[in-house]
Amino acid sequence: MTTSLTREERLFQAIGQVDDVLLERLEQQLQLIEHAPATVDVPDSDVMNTRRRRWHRTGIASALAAVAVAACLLIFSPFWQNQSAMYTASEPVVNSYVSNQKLPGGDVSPSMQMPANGTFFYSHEVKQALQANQGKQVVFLVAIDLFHNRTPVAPDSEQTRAELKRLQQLQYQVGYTRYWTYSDEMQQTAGTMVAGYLTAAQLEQFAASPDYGYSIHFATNGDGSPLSAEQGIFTDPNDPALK
Amino acid sequence: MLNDEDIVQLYWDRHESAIEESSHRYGRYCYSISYNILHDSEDAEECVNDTWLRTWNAIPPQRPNKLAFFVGRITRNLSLDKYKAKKAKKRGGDMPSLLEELTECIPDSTNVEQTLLDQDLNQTINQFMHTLPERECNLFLARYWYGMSLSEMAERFKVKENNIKASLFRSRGKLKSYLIQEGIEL
Repeated sequence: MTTSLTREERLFQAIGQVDDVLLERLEQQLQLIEHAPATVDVPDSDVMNTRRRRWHRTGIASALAAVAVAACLLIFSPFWQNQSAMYTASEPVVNSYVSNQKLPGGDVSPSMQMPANGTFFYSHEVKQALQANQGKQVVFLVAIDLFHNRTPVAPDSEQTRAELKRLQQLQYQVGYTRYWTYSDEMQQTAGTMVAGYLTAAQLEQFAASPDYGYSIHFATNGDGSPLSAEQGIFTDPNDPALK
Repeated sequence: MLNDEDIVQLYWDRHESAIEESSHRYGRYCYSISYNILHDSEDAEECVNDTWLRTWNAIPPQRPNKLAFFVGRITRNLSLDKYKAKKAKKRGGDMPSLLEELTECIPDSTNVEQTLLDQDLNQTINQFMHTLPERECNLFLARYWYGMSLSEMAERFKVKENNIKASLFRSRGKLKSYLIQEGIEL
């Protein structure tokens, strides 16, 4: 049969023989996207829809609620402009995570796990960018999700602001930045996220507080497109520039 | 519903219920693979039905760990065969566009008569897939393993179609370079 196949058909056929592990990874990724937070047993559709709406509402509410806090100083400093390069998500990403600690149960992807206090995850994409830029002076624009006792902390909360202040005192260029995501009606909705311009050293030896867990990934919009490095980081979640 | 191991054991024990269980568990999955290639319900159903017969003949001696991918591959190959038969009758489906895109991956050949053993090609493609970043690999497989349309991929990956096109374009270029590097001529 092979001799009757065109070159393209042979290639198509050969692609069909890739390792199961690659297909398994694809399936897992699709499930994570579709059912985040994923469960092994698929619940009935009503339950799932309710969960989706709840997570969506929580995310949007958390992001938008950040607009309600008092004004502070813009910290978009020239710090990173003095560096040789700025690294953002160079393309749309679907983040999967690596951890700074051995996970219970083995080396499973911690995508669906909340980081424990005092630990941090960063995504494979950030890890790859770190490896690709070893030895270079590069600053990474990353989003930082904050957790306390494995529970997400709202970006506009006092806890978040206090933790950002602590990191700023350690010379971390962290604060709030603007992004957009999709509403339930699939319309683009503006939001505010916690983000930072971090060096490789700051990422690799992240000064995690014993009170919080951190998930660090490239800062992206709802469709996975990267945020612009020029849009700045602000200490005040209510800054007009964030609207 | 039985799990993979139980169903495979039914095949090994030559219980005909193995086919019913396979169809129950993976019928829709196989149908979507076949339909993505053929875009014809009747042909896709025929391929899926043939899949169970092929599986019956293959197990034993084989004992797949992941039955979904095992039957999915069979469906995919049967659909490719069906596509070729359809092509002879000038009927399309989505395969022409899939294959046209894959043309970009094929190095210019100075010796068109040189034939590479399929096993070598399979191995090379597999090695290449492991060199791709995870996200890029997933998009590539969604398109060229599952034959998903760009719109379906955009919906399922929550990524814009243009970004998917860009990723696939990059991957095809990388694959071509890899095949040249490995001295592969199709």
